[in-house]
Amino acid sequence: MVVRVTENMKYNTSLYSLFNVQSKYNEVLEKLSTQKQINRPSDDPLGMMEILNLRTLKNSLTQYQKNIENARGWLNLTESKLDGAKEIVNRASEIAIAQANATASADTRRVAAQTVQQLIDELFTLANAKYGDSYLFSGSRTDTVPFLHDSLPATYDEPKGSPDNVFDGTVSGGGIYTGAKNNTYVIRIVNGGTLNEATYQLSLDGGKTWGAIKDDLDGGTISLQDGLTLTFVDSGSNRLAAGDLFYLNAYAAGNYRGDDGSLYVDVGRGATVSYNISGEKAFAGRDGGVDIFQTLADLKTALNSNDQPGIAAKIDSLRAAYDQLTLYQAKVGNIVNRLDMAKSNLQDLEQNTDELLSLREDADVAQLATQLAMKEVALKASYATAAKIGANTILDFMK
Amino acid sequence: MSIGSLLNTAKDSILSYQLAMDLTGANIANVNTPGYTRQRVIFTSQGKVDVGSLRVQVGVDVALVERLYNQYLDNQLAGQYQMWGYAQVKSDVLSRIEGIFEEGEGGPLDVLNKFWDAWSALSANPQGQVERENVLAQAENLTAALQQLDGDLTNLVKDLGDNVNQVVEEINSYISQIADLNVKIGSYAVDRGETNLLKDKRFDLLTKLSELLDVNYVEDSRGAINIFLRDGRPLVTGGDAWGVAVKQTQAETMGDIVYRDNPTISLKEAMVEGKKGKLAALYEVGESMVPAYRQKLDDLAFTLTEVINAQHRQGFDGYGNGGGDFFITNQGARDFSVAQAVMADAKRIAASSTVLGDGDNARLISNLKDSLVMAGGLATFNSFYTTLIGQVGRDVLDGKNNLNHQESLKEQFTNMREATSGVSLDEEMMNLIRFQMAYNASGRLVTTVNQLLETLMEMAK
Repeated sequence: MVVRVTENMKYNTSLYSLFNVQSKYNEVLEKLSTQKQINRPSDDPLGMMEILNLRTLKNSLTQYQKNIENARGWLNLTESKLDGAKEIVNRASEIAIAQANATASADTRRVAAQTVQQLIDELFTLANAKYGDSYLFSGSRTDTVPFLHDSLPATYDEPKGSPDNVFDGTVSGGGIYTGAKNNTYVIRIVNGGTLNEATYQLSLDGGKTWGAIKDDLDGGTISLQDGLTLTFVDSGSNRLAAGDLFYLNAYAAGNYRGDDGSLYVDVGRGATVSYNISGEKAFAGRDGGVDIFQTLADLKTALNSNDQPGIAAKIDSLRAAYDQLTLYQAKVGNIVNRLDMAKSNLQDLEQNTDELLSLREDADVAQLATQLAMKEVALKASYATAAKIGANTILDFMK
Repeated sequence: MSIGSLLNTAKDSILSYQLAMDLTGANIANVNTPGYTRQRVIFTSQGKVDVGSLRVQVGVDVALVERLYNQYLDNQLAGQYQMWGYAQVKSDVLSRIEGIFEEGEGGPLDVLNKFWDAWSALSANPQGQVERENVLAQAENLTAALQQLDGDLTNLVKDLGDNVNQVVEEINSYISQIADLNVKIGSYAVDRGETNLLKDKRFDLLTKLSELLDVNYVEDSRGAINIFLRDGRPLVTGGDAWGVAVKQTQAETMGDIVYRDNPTISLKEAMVEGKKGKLAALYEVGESMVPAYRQKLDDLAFTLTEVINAQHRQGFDGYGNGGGDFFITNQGARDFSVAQAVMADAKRIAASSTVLGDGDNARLISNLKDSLVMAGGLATFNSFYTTLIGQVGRDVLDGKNNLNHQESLKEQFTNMREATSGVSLDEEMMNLIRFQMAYNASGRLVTTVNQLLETLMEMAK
C-alpha cells in the first residue's frame, strides 16, 4: 500500500519523536543532576513509599539512639555518684575500725565524729545530685530533693488540690501513715455536686492507675490506705466538680522524700528500659537494706558519746552498706550493658536502613552516564533527521 | 464545427487549467494551515458538436472543486481529541497536586517525625522548659503543614472551578460559530466547492470543541452538523446554538452546568460521565480525586486529635492538673490546631503520668507513632500519610501514562487524516507541471486557431 506522505506528516512525526527523545534525555539528565533515582512520587510510587517509610524508620532509630545517649549520661553520673558513696562508706568503715580499737580515746573519737559529719555532708551532696533538671535518686519525683538532712517520723504533706479545681472548700488529711514506703494518693472526682452526691476514684500510685468509683464521701471523710484519711469540708458555694483532683504525699519514717518509681526510656520499638536507681533502695535501705544516712548518723553519735561497743556494732552495718552500693553499681552496669547492646543493634539497623535508602534513592551514576550517552546519540539522530525534512523534494529536480 | 468554437474550447481549457493552478497555489500556500483540507479540481468534458454523422464531446469544464476528506477518519480524530483533552488536563492538574504534596523539609511527614521526637525528648527531661516549648513548636508546625496542604488543595479546586468557567465560555463560542457556519454552508443550494473553506473551519472548531467535552455529531441532509451530548440533549441543531452556563450550587463544589436559557436542566452528568474532554477531567479531579485526598488529611487530623488527646488526658501537667485536650479540630485538617490552653502555656502539656512530675506520659505519647490507629487499625500515622503520597504518585503516573498513550494515538490519527487530507508539496509540484503543460498546450491551440484564421484570410484576398 502506498501512503500519501504529506508535509505535515513528516513534520509532525519528526517533531513528536524529537520531543519523545528530548523528554527521555531530560529524565536522565534530571536524575544525574539531582543524584536521585526518584525525584517525585510519580517517578516510582512504590519506591517513593519505600523511601518515605525508610526515612521514618531512620528517624525513629536516630531518636532511640538519642534516648540511649541521654540514659547513658544519667547512668554514668549515677555510677560515679555510687562510686563516691562507696568511697565515703569505706572511709567511715576505716574510722569505725580504728575508733573501735581500745587504743582510741574519747578525744580521738570526738575528732573522728567531726570527720564522719563531713562524710555525711559529702554523701548528701552525692545523693542529692542532679542530671540536667532532674534529681538522680528521687525515683519518679524528679523535681523533689530526695534526701533531707534530718530523719523524721512517718508524716504526710497537707493535701493539695489542682489549680484547676472548681471546689473551693477545704480538704485536710488525718491519721498516722503506716506505709513502709513514700506514696502519693490521688483522688479524682468522677461526678460532682454536694458531698452526698459526689463520687470519686482513688489512685494509690500518683495517678497512673485508678480504683473503683466510690460514693462514700457523704460524711466528708474518706479512708485512703495505711492509716490515712482525707476530710472534705464543703464551703457551700463552689462544690466538687467532675475532674477535680486532690493529692496527698505520705512519707515513711526517715529522711527520704523521693519515691520508688522508675524512669523509663524507649530503646526500640516496644522496648523500654528502666534506667534510674531509686535512692530509696540504694541509700535509704527500705526493702530490708541498710539506711546509710542513719548508719553514719549512728556512728557519729556513738563516736561522740565514746561508746566503743556502739562503734564496733556499726562496722558490720557499714560493710553491708558498702555491699549494697556495690550491688546497685552492678545494676547500673547491667543497664549500661543492655543500653550498649541496644545501641549497637540500632547502629547496625541504621546502617542497613541507610544502605537500603541509598539503594532506593541514590542514582547509579555510572549507569546513568551510559544512559545519557545513549540518549544523546538518539537525540542527535533526531536532530539530524529533523534537519533533513524538506531537503529532498521534487523542486531540486525542476530546473 | 466552426473555427470559432475551437477558440471557445481553447478558452475554456485555459480558464480551467488556470483555476487548477490557482487551487494548487492555494494548497501550497496552506500547507501549514491547521484543519486545512486539500482541494482538487474535478474536470469534466462539455458540449457536443456534430461532425457529419459523428457527435463528438469536446471542451472542458470544472465540475467541482473537491475537498478530500474521509468522514470516518474525521470522526475518529474528533473522538481522539476528546480522549486526549481529558488525559492532558488530568495529567496537568495531577502534576500540580503532586507538587503540592512534595515531601521535604517541613513537609507533613518530616514535621510528624519531629513531633514524635519532641515528645521523646520531653519524656527524658519533663521539667525542661525548652523541651516543652519544642513540643509546642513541632505541634504547631504539624498543624500548619496539614492546614497548608488542605488549603492548597482547596485553592486548587477553586482554580479548577475558574477553568470550568473558561471552558464553558469556549464551548459557547465554538458552538455559536459552528451554528453560524451551518447556516452559511446551508445557504448554497448547489455546492460546487464554494463551502470547502467553511467546512474546514467548521471541522477545526469541531475538533477544538471535542477537546473540551464529550459530544456526538451528525451531518444532516442539508450539510449542517448537529451536535449532541451523550444523553441526546443538543448543543447545536442547524443554525441554533444551545448556550450553556455554570450554575453555582453550593460552596466548595464546582457547580453544575446547565442551559443558559433553561437553568433547571442539569447537563453536567452527561458532559462528564464518559470521561472524555477537558471538562470531564476538571470535574473528576476537582470533585472526586481532590476530595478523596482531603478526606485522608481530615482522617489524619481527626485521628491525631482523638488518639493524642486520649493519652494526653491520662496524664498530668506541670501544675498537677489533669491533662486536657492537646489538639482541637472540628472539621478536620482545615481547622486542625493546638488547643488554646496548651498553646498559651507550655507547662500545661501533660508530660507526667503521675502528679509527681515524671515524663512517662510524654514517652507514651511519643510511642503513639507506632500504634496502628489509622485505616481501620492497619496503619500508623506515618505509614498512612506515606500511603497517601504513594496514591498521589500512582494517580499522577497513571495520568502521565494515559496522556502518553492518547498523545501517540492522536499523533497516529492525525497522520492518518493527513495522509488523505494533507497537502504534499511534491504532489502539488507535479500537478503544477501537469496543469502548466495543459495550459501551454491550450495556448498553442489558440495560436494554431489564429494561424488557421490567417490562412483563411489569405485565401480570401
